[in-house]
Amino acid sequence: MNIYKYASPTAFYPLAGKMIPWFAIPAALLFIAGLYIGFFVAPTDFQQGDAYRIMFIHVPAAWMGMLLYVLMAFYAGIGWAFNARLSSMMASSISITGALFTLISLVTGSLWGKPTWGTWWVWDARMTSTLILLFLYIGFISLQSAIDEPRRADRAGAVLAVVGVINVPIIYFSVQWWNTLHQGATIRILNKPTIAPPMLAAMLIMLAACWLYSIAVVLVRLRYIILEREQNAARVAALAT
Amino acid sequence: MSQFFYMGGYGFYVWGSYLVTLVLLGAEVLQLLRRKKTLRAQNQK
Repeated sequence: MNIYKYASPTAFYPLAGKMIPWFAIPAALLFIAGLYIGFFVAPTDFQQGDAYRIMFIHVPAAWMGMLLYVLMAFYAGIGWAFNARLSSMMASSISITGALFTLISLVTGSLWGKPTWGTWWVWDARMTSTLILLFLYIGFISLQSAIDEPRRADRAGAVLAVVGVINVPIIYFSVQWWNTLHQGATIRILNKPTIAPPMLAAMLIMLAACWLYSIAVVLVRLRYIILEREQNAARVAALAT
Repeated sequence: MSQFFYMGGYGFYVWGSYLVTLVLLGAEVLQLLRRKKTLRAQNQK
């Protein structure tokens, strides 16, 4: 079997179709499990009361916003460097879901900030850099939709996406580099997490659910992008002959 | 039960967060379903 075969959009289309339920169904089950543990098993926090339960969606959404951006830039970069159409289409597909998760992290952060910090929004490093991330996504999406020729749109988007990657480590380390209102990371790779096990479990299950959800919707959207582009190409070819 | 929805006084913020998430992700799924319909319609022409 030649694995490079699947780099072709038309060969990948049916494969993606078969993969979607394997992500969509576990995603739904994990959302239910995560919310159940988050709301019925995890205890009330002694400092923040029940307001902390926003964390179960806020933290996974924020992570997804950053991770999907890196993934989008990676695919856009590959599509640009190796002239791989499918890779560029993948980047376009990821951009919408990434933007949505970034928006969710900003809105839920705001709803969490009001009762705990006393303000909906402050221009501190973490929030400002996350807002810039949202603008990068919006910039990528509008740039692509503003250019008619798909491959030119892919290249223009790739430049923006790759340059914008610099913002992701800035978001991640912002709580260490600057004095900020936002709390530091709860989960660190080398240290023990600083929260109760059921809280951690709920958050990690929600993160897994968000990942699986993202893969499923990105694959669905990728299939539509493939169809639309191949249709347009066929129509252009029909006009030319 | 009302205790559960009250969320120790944080009900608006907690449920608001999950409602916003549900609306946004729901909109994404609905938009994809509509795109599918449009594509099907175009293919039948």
